[in-house]
Amino acid sequence: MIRIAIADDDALCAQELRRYIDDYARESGHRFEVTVYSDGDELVERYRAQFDIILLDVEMPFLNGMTAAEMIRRQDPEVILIFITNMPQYAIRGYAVDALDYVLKPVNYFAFSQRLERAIRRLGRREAVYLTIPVKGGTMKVAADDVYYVESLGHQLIYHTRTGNYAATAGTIQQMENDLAPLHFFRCHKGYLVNLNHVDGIRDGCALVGDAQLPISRAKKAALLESLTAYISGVGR
Amino acid sequence: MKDVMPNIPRILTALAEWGSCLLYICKYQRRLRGWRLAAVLTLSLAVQCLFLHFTGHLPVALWIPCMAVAVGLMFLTILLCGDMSALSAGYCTVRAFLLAEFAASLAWQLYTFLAGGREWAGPASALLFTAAVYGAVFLVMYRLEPKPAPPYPRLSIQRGELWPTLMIGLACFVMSNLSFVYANTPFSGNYISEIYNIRTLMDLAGVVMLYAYHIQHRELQVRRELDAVQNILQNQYVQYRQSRESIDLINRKYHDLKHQIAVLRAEPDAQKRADFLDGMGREIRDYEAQNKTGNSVLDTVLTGKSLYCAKHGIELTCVADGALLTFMSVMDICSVFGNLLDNAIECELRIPDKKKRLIHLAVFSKKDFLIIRCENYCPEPVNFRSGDPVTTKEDGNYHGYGVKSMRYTAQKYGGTMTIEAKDNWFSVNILIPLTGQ
Repeated sequence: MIRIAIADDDALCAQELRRYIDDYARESGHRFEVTVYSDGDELVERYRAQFDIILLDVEMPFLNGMTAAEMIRRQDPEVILIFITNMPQYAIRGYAVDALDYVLKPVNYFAFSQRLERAIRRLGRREAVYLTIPVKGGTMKVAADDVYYVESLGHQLIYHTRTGNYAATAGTIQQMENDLAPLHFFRCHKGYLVNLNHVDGIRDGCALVGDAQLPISRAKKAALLESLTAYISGVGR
Repeated sequence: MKDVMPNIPRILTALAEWGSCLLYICKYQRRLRGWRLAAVLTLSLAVQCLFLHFTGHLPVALWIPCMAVAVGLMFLTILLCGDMSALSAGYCTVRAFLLAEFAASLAWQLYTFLAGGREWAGPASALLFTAAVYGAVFLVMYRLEPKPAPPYPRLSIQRGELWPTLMIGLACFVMSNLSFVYANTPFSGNYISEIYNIRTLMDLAGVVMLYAYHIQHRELQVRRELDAVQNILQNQYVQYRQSRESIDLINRKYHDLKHQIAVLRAEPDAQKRADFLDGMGREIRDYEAQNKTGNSVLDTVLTGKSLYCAKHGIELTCVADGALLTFMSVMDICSVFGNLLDNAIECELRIPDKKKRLIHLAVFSKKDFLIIRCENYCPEPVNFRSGDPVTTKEDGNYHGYGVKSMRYTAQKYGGTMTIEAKDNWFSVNILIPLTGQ
């Protein structure tokens, strides 16, 4: 069940969007729960991150879409925002609230369904994967997303994570590279396997991950940039 | 040629021909891989050896057609294994053939000189010795041959470039073998050692000439490519200047109009007219507000392209933080966005259903990276060759520079570009690290 909110002061337009969602549900087999608001303030008032996707009209009399989006973003960094507008010059600033898509009014079904499809695909990517790290006296379960990078120190693997550093009692970096291949991890150096999600920047041949600077081997530089491009542009839809 | 020194066993010639084909197949991108490649190469070795072996004792009149067939076999091997056009394969064949002639001739001359009359001489040692010489010759040639430049490791030879190669190859072949066919010409040698010398030296001259020609051809190609990339840059810049001018003109017109509206509004009568004028004023505001991304160059490029899109029923949407682009030069912004949108527009124009003509451009930052992404709906499958899409334009040799030019610009700023086609959407992603820009 995918929960969608529509906020639009134009009842006809909201109705049309609702019909499009129904058509799309029939076409794709997805199931939706749609809630309609007639203004931004209604949506924001009791917002508790209860939606997956929000379709927002940019121009509404009481609380306009851009301001509503800012307020929603403060509470919910995950929800996918799609503006609906006939004034693209406002939606062009959507990047400020991480709304990288918008639909132009009058809404054409094909364009709308394509956008919805991509938003849904992005939803599917969010499921958390956990890693089990063998440590002294037991195992640790850590979300893969919380791992900043894995370091190979001598014969030991050190996991640098959001909750602290763990020294694993077994495993090799090569093995971890293979295991984590389906996730967004990249071996930027003989001794480092980095989570692309935590690469904040690249400077002087080093990947910046939190406070750490991981060396990038010369041979891996181009491949790292390409993986980063694919990862970041895949996530930031 | 009534001499004690026998001519090269045909099987050794076959080996040289096959080996030099292998050299050119290794050097360029291959069509076949793994066991298929191995199978074709084994088959070609067997055919080449058998053919040359069984045609070894035919009369001189049949020798030339047989040689032609042998060259044809080499051509087939290269064409089958290498990912190249027939013209390029022909070019490689000529080079491979002369190299094989040279290697075979050199090896045999060395062998007969060193092994003449010694007890270790025999078919097995001849084979070992020649194989070693071939290996050395091919290795040197492989090292000398310039590396094909990524991301286009393909050889691209035009008809006009094949002719001189063919001529050089043919001339060297004729001169080097003249003495074997006709002993009675001004250029024929009379002594067997002299004949061998002529052959080896002529073949060497041919190999060197073709090598020199190849190097020059390659340099020309690189220069031509650079010119084309520069041309594209220049083109997008000229377009930018033109739309800048026309947009300025429109802006001035609108400005005048605004003054007229102000004057009209000063007239105290007619409520309706005031309403009408309000409407007009609003429209002008809409126009003025269009494409304010925070970067005037991007605004201009976008406005120009969106006018074109509107005319052709393409829905162009854009989310762009132009302020991020300040570190890029005007030329580069024009070239990157102009090419991105031109490529997307070209693809959309081929979609008959206007409702499906969609382009979405996004410019944003994530962490310390600038991302430029252009996506367009593209229902037809896209073919890729080493990471870049194969052009859909007729003459493949002169296109694909738009993509090259964008990649060149991304790399200039320490970034990279990737292209993918997935779920009916074609997207070009450019990432540039913002740290240190």
